[in-house]
Amino acid sequence: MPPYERALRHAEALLRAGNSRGAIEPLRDALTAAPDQAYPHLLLASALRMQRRLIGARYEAERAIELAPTWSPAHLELAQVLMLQQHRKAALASTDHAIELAPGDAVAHLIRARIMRLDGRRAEAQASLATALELDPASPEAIAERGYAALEQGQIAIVEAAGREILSLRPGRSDGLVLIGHAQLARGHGEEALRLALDALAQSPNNLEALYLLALAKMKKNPIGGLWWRWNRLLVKLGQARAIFFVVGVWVAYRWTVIASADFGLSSTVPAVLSLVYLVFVIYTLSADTIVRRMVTKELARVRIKPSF
Amino acid sequence: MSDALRYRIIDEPRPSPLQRFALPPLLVFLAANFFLPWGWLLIAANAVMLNGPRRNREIGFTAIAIGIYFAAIAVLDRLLLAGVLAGNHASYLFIVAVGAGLVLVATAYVTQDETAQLRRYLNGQD
Repeated sequence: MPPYERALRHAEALLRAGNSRGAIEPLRDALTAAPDQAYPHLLLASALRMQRRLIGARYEAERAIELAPTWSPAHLELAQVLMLQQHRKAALASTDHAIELAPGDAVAHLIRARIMRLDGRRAEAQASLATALELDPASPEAIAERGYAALEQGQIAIVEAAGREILSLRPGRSDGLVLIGHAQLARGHGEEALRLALDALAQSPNNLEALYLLALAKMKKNPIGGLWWRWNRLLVKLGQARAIFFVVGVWVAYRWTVIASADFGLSSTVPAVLSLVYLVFVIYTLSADTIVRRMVTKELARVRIKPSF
Repeated sequence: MSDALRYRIIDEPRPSPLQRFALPPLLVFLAANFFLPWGWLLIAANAVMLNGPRRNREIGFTAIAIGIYFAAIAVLDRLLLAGVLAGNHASYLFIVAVGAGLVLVATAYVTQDETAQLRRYLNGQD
């Protein structure tokens, strides 16, 4: 087998097993041998996306499109990267382009549903999800999307039903375990949710939803952890650019208040107290990510990854 | 095959003779903001040492932030002298200008942090 083919097969096998980190080097080998093939660029984009290396993933997806402009999987990969970069409008345009190229692709409609849901456009999300399920009624990914949409609306019974349906189709599948875990957590069974998250991660160590559930279950155990988690989630939800504006906005407000307190002739204790509050805010914000990460990492030591990974 | 001939992924930091002098971006960001505006130059220097994929953008953002700082001083000074602004209004506006600079510098910090994290990850330290 030529080195290009060998490297590609190796990378495909690793990606199938969920080992995106391991797939990067064989893909590098494949691209060293054949830099103008769209397929290895697409696989590399996918592996990098799973590793949340979004700058690299976006470049690779764009390169795949450049080499094969009418190939819908490349447009879908770019859409998923753009979605993670919080560029939802561009992600939607890329998905719509993929749907134009391959109208019968259930995955394209599913990705469209996910983008719409994250954008808060529930009716359109439901319509796209219905199309995806019509095209592929037994798709565990589409059923999982139905579960996550219900989770956002607090419909716990539907979340659990979706999880159980996935497990009946594919026993042990991590999406199903995560959805049932969310349902358990909503009912106040934190330990059970934690166990399900660990089971899901053992099945699929790259499942970010499982990692999210693990962190959520862990953080909800104590009020301080819960506060940290909520603050961290708020910043993540805002997206990078908005989070920067928000934090700088807090600084501007703090400085204005200090100046105003002098303008109004308030005691010098007021700016001192304000500075102290601001300092606590800064320390809290900067440490939130690290603390959440450490607590999750500690919990991850309990994961026993399945041998095939 | 030597590493130089292998396919390079765009987000990977290029080797730099100064990379061993690179400091943790958070530390640099915090220290820099204590010595405005020249402290922001530290962020530009760290961009050169980290040599990440957005090095030039980071340097550019820092330069613009410093430019905004001095431009704000010059403009507000003129407005004060011309009597357009009264009292402490200039202080409030100056804070907004520094805030605009901070947005740019914070954006540079975020990409530097990504580069530093990726470097640690690629070196197997994460």
